[in-house]
Amino acid sequence: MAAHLIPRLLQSIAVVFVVVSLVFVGSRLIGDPIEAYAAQNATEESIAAQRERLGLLDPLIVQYGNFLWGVVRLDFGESIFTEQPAWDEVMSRLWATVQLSLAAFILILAIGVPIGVLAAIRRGSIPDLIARLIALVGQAMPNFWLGLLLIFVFAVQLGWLPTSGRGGFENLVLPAITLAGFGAAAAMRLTRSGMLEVLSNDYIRTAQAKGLAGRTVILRHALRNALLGLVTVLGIMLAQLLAGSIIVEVVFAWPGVGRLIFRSISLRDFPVIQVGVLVIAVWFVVVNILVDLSYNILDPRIRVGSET
Amino acid sequence: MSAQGVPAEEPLVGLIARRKPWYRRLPRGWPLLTVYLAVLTLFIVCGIFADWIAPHDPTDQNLISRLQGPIWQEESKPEHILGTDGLGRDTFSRLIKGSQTSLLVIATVIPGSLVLGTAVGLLAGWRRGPFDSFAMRLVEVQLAFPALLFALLIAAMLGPSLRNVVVILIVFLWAPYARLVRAEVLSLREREFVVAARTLGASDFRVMLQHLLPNVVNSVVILATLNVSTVIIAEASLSFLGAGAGPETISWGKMVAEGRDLLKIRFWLTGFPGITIMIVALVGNLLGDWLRDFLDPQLRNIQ
Amino acid sequence: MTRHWTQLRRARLSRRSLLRASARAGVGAAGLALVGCGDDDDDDQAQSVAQAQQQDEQQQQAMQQQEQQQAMQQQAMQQQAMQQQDDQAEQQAEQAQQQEQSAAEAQAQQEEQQAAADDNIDYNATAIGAYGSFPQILDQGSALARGGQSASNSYHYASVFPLEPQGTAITGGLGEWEFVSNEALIVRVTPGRVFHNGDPVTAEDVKFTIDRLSNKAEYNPEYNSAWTGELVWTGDNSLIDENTLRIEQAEPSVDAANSLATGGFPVFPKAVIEADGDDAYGQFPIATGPFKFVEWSPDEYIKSVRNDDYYNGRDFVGAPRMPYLAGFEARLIPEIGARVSALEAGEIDLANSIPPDLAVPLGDTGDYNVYYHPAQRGLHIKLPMTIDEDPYNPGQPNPWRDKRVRIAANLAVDVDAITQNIMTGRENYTYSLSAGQFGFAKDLVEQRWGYDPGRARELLAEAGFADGLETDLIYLSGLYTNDQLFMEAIAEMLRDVGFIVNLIPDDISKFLGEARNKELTAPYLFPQPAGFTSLGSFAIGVDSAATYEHKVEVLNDERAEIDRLIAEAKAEFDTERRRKLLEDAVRIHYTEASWLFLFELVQTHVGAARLEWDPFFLQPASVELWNLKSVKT
Repeated sequence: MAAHLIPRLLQSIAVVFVVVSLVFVGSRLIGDPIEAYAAQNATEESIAAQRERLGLLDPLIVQYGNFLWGVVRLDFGESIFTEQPAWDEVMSRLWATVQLSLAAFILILAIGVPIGVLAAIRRGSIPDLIARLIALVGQAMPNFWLGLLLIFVFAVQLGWLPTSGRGGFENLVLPAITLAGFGAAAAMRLTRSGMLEVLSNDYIRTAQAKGLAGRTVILRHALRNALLGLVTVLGIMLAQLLAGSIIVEVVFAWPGVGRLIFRSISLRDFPVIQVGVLVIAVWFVVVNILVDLSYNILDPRIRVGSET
Repeated sequence: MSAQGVPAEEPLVGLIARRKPWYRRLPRGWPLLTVYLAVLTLFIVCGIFADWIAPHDPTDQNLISRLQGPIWQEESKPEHILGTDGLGRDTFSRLIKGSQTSLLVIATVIPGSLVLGTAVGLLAGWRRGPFDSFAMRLVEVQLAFPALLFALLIAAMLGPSLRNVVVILIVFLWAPYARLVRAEVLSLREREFVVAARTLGASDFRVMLQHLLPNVVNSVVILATLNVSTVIIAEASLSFLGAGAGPETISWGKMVAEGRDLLKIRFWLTGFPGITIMIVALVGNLLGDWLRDFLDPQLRNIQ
Repeated sequence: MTRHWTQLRRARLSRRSLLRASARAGVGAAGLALVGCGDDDDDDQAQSVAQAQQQDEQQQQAMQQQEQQQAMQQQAMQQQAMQQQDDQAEQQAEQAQQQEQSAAEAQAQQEEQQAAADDNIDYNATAIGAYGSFPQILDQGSALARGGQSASNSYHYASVFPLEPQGTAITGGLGEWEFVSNEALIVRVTPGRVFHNGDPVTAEDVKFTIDRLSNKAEYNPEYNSAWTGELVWTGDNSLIDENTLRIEQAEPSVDAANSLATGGFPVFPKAVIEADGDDAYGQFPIATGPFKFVEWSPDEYIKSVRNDDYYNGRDFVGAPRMPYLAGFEARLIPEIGARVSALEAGEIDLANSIPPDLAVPLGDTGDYNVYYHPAQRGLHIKLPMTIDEDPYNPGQPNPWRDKRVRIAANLAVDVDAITQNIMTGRENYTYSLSAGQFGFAKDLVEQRWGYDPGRARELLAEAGFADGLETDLIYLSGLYTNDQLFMEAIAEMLRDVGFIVNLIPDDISKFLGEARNKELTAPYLFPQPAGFTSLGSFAIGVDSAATYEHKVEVLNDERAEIDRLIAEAKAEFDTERRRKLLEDAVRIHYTEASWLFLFELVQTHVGAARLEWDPFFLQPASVELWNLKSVKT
């Protein structure tokens, strides 16, 4: 286990490093925060002094070195605009985004996977057709449009749910559905086809021939094997929900990391962009490692002492 | 599932039976396929001949007849079938012109990412070694990289333009091809015909081009077809955030973004482009599914 | 001259206005207005309630007339364009006259209504208002507090002196002032005034405020002040006693008191800031304003309650006053559609900056109040006069230095069609920096560049651009109501006469930098505080315009003449002569077609039916909260 995990961790750190370095360079290429930062009547000298103070006059490589050294000491600098620690700025919004992503992920698991299984078991039935249709439409729908439609129908016309902002559970419903939409449709399709594939395999037939009842076969054998294939895809989905929530956060005025980064890019607030992307990249690799680990639990060939 | 794929006995039947009449030789599921192809053709024709087909100049403004509803609503004008936008521009003509943008993006991004990804995948799978691990790490980095944020950075750096959208999408869509092709090559490289070619002294280049490539083409084409919806939706999303096509370009995503403030009173301003995006994406997916079942029933998990 | 004309003139020639210009070197006002920042209570644009209401009524009449015109337009839009403009010029002149006659009556009437309505007001009511953007931090003195297009926290602050409706500083706020000579000003703080935390306001706090904002405070001389431009007149200041401060004037300015009265000009608690630092203060502002800050969550909400210790009652003549609302929560809802939906769903009571296409139907339902809010920003397109070469044809001279090209651009754009069809229809055309309807350089109404695309084409051809003139057109998207729409309309109209326009929605950081460094090589949309009731404001506008437009040398004789007139006006103490000088400058500026002149923006906000609001000071961005009343139903 550890032998497997350590190289994986090292690799992940390398991935995070590359991503963060790319963002460092990318964000330096988009220009200087001072233009938006300085007062309109600021003099040349005061602008130069501000640049100096923020370390923007140093050569790029020095800035990069300072940045890496900061990362090592877990000191990411202050937001240029709010003058609060960039780390705090991101962290204060992280929970909102994680909450949204997890809610969406739970929806994907709770809707996409069971419907996919059902559709596979009852292949060709009306429910199967409906499920496939929904999955197809869901995958073809841009999520900003879905969000606008949901607001229009459920918040404006029916008045059941709030339109935007963050608050109680009811505020979470529409953004979570919007964020989950594409993923749930994809999960539904993949579960269905995965189950169908497994169900057509010989060992299922063997199990059935051995007289195991239908439900047991499906749950114990087919579902586990189908899930195994799904875990990677679901893992990538979970990882991407966090980064992909920008649009949903914009549409629903959700005070999360995505919108923070979006705004920080237009203001060139480097420290915040960097921390934001760092957090997203770390989240991604952590989820990936968890996916790897879950293989161990799900795959009987890896697990020792399997009862099957 | 095999019912939707190529029936296994077909070649055999073909050998024995007399030549079947043409309608029996149509691929399975042809009525639906015809619909998909018809939509696709319409999309491509609109894209190529937009300037001839559009009943109005899509940039022609008329501030007096702005925000008109589609033809079935009251207060509409017959010359604007789908109504007009906030500047009195004809929605129908803009949709047609918008298909040109989508087509352009699809026609550049998909071949671009396909060629790049396939080449990397072929090399990685065939050569193995350091290039392989490098390429696979790159794929991982790319997946860990928040694509949307990167696109926003690029747009902030260079200003929004269609060219940037194309480059960004290629950068973020080559990886799935690389992974797919590499996986296939890994299983192909030990196969007899490849080993034979190698022993006969064929160069790496020749093996990859003549023996490996033809065997991965099917899956690559399927993935490419399925990518049509990804590209369309990605372009629309970038446009929605203001990082998409430049101001002079008419695109469906931008039409949705422009109309979204007025969703409540002029639903169709976002409705038409939204539905159009959906239809094209849907047809892309369905066609991809059909192709997958037709070409390679084993590849159900391509996504 | 009628009564109203005199009244207006008094406003325009107020002491404050007169030397204001010299007080405000630099471009604070315009620059901040551009990003729509902490200048919420920008006071250049003071105007009485009566005037505003009157104006509304007349504009409604005008709207009806305009609707009729629209019908005509549909038949023969182009042929009638010229004729129409004459009509409109007349109309505007008439309007001004009507206004003059009835302003006083309206004032009386309104006071009666006010008295009757007061019983209906619910003083315990709270309200939630949604804004499109928030400031980064809540320290009103910092340049970083910008970004709230919608002034989300200026109501926590009150300036040293209040302003009366005409925009002149009056006593009765924190204290009073006295000019001891042309070189010094004495400020006496009234004992008993307190900050939100209960600490008394002393002269030391006022001194600290001025030092802090002019980067002289010892605790942090690098403070990123947004108000240095307001305070260039200040020299050394010294405490006489606990409640008395003497401010030396670095340059003589009878306008000094007014710059301390500028709406939103903050007074800071010295003890708090020195103890906690700027960063902490930016997260928790303690000031003297009509609302007390309670808590905020950046990107989410700002909660405030009425400051019951606020010293000016509801019947006070100036602003701000004791609020009617007991509490207010500002919410951030960036999407316009979502703001409207939230309003309809009853989640909020006030939606700021809603485009007229959405606001008008909401008002028509009778369930909402639509507030038409002259934002007092004259929008125009600045032409790139500073560069020598045509960026599209290196080696060729800058085409915009050719007056014919500038006139062609003005003739090409049908401003009235834009305001009537895309905007609210209540926008006034801008003549240079002054609005024709206020009677300032009135004769310009007759000289207006009309809509004449044919003539524009000819002029362009005469100037040697028969084959078209390629140019970029830059604007910051999303700052003003419908800006994308009207900029696209303008671009298309310019294209119609032969300009080859590349419309570029620019990025804010890039744009600000280029504008400040005078690197913009293309025409760009720019706001100017307009609709001036004051001559001084005009001079400020020209000053700030110059900061962006001039490189080093003066471009042409006309420009030199404008500069000469402005300089002379600044030194001219006789009000009548001063007005003439500035009017001459305006005339040259307009007839030279120095800019592409557009219109004064009218913002529309929508509130729940229970919320009543009358514009008091016409703030550039949003509703004055202290003037918002919740009516009992």
